[in-house]
Amino acid sequence: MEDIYIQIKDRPIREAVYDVLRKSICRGELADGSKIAEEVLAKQMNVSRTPIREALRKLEMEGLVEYIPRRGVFVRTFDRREIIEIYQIRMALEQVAVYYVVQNITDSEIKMLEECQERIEKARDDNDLNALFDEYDFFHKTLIRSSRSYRITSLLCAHYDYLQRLRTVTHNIAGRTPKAVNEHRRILEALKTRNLEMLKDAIISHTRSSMKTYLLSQDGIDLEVSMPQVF
Amino acid sequence: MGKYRLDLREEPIRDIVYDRLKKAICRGDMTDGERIPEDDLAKKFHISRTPIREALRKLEVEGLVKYYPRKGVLVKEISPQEYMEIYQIRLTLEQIAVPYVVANITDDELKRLREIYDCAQLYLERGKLAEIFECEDLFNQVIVDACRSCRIGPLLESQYIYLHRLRKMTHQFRNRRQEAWIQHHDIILALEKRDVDMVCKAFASHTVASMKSFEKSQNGLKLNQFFSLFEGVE
Repeated sequence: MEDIYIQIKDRPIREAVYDVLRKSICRGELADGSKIAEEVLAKQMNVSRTPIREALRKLEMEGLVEYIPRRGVFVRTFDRREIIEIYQIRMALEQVAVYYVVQNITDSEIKMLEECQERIEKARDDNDLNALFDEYDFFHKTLIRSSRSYRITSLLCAHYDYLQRLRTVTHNIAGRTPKAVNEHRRILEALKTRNLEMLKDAIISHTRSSMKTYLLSQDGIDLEVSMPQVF
Repeated sequence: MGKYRLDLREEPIRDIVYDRLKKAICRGDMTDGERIPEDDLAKKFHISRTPIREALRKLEVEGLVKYYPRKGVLVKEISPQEYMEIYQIRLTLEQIAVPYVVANITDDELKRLREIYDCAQLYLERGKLAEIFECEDLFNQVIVDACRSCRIGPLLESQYIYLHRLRKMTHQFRNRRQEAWIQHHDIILALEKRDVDMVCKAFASHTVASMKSFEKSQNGLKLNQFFSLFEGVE
């Protein structure tokens, strides 16, 4: 965490602390259930404890940390039920987002995604999972931002972040990495046609397949989660 | 670890201010673009400006207020386009909430929905708008609670918050309220049958109809083709 001080130098401290903490939790650098020591963090980041507390309160609102009286603040673990809900919310929001994406995405954004897909495929060939996860993130967020809808973008990006922690689990499952890479390729091809139905199908089936892999990793059973007809 | 106890003691003031402001904004008591006077509030509540600022910050995160340099904190304006997005988000969230509601709603809760419906009928006859809206809030609350979900319910609830401000724009259409309660009745009937598809359709028709009545209130706003995703629903 030595580089944290540099990162937060020129920004509102409270927000910077929040961003750094949120990122460490979502990426699994701060493990599930681990204790967050305010004092230690304050020293590491070279800030007072007030912005740390404010950031933690905001993280608590999001369900990422929990206060346990007399014991402190801990990284909250999502249980299976909660993860399924997050996946379902993600699919619901993606359903709304694609509608705006096909209307508003620019040629240069499509080009950016195309280049990103090339980096994704390279990371797959190099077997560089960290690079792969970074590129996934860039891919999804660039795609959703092209909807030009602030509300949908911020809600959806938050839910993408919540699911980041699972990647280390799902990508341990044989065959998931090449499959996920191909699913991104399919999203990109659908985007190029700007066809709403194709894009919707590509994105929703990607999310569904990611959810199935997660469930498989949990109990080894391919559980069909009931989804209403509209999806 | 006494520090957490201190923290908890401070919380109520900030939360009270937050709750009251949120209510005032959501009910439409404070209009779009109105300035929130920090000083006056501090005097009124006999408190320092810190908890007020904290409450405002929380409201800012939720997108209900906005800081403007040299102007202060204003109630954030929501554009018609943003309202459409809120409707769309709500529409799809309701669809994923339904299987949870159908699986978890108790007979007592169903009975409560009936009671709320009966009350609303009385108020409709007497044209008591504020009370009708209150019934709608109670109805939505039962639904949100019946999800028994940690994420979907609260997210849906956060979309219902905007209803109050929307109603100020659509309440001139009297027929809409009648229609809305016929649709609430359809939702109750479908829930009593515990038929997921039927409940999904009932929610969608209700929300699509309110979107249309919102469109009517915004002369000239052309509703997008989003409905095509829900073809055959009406």
